[in-house]
Amino acid sequence: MKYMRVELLTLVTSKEIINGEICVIGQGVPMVAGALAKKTHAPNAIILTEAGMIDIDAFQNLEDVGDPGSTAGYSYSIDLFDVFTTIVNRGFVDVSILGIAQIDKFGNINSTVVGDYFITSRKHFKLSGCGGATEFAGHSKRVILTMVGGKFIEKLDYITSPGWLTGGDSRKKAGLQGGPTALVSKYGVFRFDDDTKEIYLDSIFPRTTVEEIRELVPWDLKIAEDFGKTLKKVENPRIEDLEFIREFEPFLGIGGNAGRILQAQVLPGYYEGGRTI
Amino acid sequence: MVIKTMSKEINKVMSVKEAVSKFVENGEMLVTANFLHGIPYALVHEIIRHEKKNLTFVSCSSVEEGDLLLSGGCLSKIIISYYHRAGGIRYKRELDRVLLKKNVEFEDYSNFTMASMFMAGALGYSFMPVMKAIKETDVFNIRTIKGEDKFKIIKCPFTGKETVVVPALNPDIAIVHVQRADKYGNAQFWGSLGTLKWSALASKKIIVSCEEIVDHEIIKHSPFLTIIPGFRVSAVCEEPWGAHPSPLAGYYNTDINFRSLYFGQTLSNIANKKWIEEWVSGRKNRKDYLDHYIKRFGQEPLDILKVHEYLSDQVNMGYKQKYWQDDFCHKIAQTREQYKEKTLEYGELDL
Repeated sequence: MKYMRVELLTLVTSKEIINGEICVIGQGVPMVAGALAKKTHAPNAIILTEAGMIDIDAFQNLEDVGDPGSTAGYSYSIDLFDVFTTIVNRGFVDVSILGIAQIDKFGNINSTVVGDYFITSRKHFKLSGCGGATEFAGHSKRVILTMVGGKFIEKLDYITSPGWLTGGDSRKKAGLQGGPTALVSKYGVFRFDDDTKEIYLDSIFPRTTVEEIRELVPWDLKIAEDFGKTLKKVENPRIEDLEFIREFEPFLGIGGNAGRILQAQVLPGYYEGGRTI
Repeated sequence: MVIKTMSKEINKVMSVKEAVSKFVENGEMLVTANFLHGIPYALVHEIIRHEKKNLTFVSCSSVEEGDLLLSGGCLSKIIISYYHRAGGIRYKRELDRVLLKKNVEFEDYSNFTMASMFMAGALGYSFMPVMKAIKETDVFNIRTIKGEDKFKIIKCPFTGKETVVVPALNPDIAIVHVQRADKYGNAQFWGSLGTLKWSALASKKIIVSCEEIVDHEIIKHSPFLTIIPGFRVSAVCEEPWGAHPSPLAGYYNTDINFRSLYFGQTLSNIANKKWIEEWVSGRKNRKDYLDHYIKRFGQEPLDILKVHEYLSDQVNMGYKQKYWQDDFCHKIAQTREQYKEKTLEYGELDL
């Protein structure tokens, strides 16, 4: 049976959630990972979104973090300000799962702009911006990052959300709790060294080589062996996990291929010609 | 312009056309208060049809409303914390085109710091402390529209600790879509609450569009659902499907196909203009928009969006029994007559 790398990414991410944790989920893959964890190994996890739905039990894909129709009710309805103050600022978030665009060596994130912030050329692009990520990344005990289409960058164009800042104890000195503990990409899982806080390759997906991953990283990537650990191999997913993930159709994003094929089928005779530049 | 929204005598029920022409002025600061849920598209479309100019668009999130307003030429400034981009960096959006031409100024915040500015504005304070994380980012460092006043650092007078603060934000006009409201403007909203309450209450004027205008009695039975009190509201407009293609709890889900379609159809400048003509400026009102949708795609894609029923339990709000029943009260204290006598005895003024 064939499966997509993104499906394995989702599964691996869900395993990072521990039963009973208070877990923030961001847009996209993290939502499916949260729902999957709750259905499998973490039924008592409290999944929440910044839009103020606390303890959701999603049984359909959330279109975005404010989508109220993907869960039949939830325990606690508050607004965004309450989420960030009474839950995040008080330090109650155990783990935040966030999708990212660009990441550096120390897990700092850029989701604001590619190129110059002041858009001086056609090659520069505004991305979606902070959303809730800045405070979630800065104030959760653990942060799990998912990278579907993102990139490793030596020097970020813009720092949107704090990771381990300049490494070492710089984050602690800035007064921020926790920090990123894992990055799950389509090729493997990365973690951060306890002392230097530099990212290293912890485990690789099936049919992937270390060399392949090194090519995606602009600096000399460290691997588990460099820190006296063993490089692990991620196993193939179980069929039931895959079936669960597929029920959520997580890749029916608006800009994704699947989304465009679908709209061409459901709303036919409309799509051609729309993309003339 | 002074608006007497305090008086219940004023008839606030009107069409969105009337509401926008009465209450939205060129050059004002506009907030779309809904956060991803129940985006007030009926009102957004009406603002574009009115060809409003030089608005400053502030919000915690823009899904498509920002691009729509830009395409209508309504905006000169955007202060926002999330401006949705579908499909990654391969595709050019209206925002990319205007930023490249320097037609619009842009300022970034995070959802929380943006919400804090609304909170301060709504509470009547001049600033609000925010969490530390922002100080470690370029959101703090790079400043455009707000300049010096984007963030400041103060010393907490009690702990002596360094604290990042944001200034209060009081937009001129908030546009809001909710499930139901009464003719006085008492607006009830449920589902994911996002930033609706604080960004609306921070504003000087509020226009509410709703799926249904209901009897005042219905509002009174569930006052905990009222998110904006009537006395703050300038206009109430009944607009079924007023938030389509975004979702609205209890009514409809996201029309993901239509949103994908919008995405695919608006990548070029020319195609984008065509879309605006077809779906916004060429449509008379929301009803015309829906008729056009049905003509284009049939009733079925619309029907499938309607949500499953999942009812909230009714609670007993309760009110007092009549207490002064002589046969009961005199057993405890006095009869009503005795009480009346006492008031006469102690009264200070003559009739």
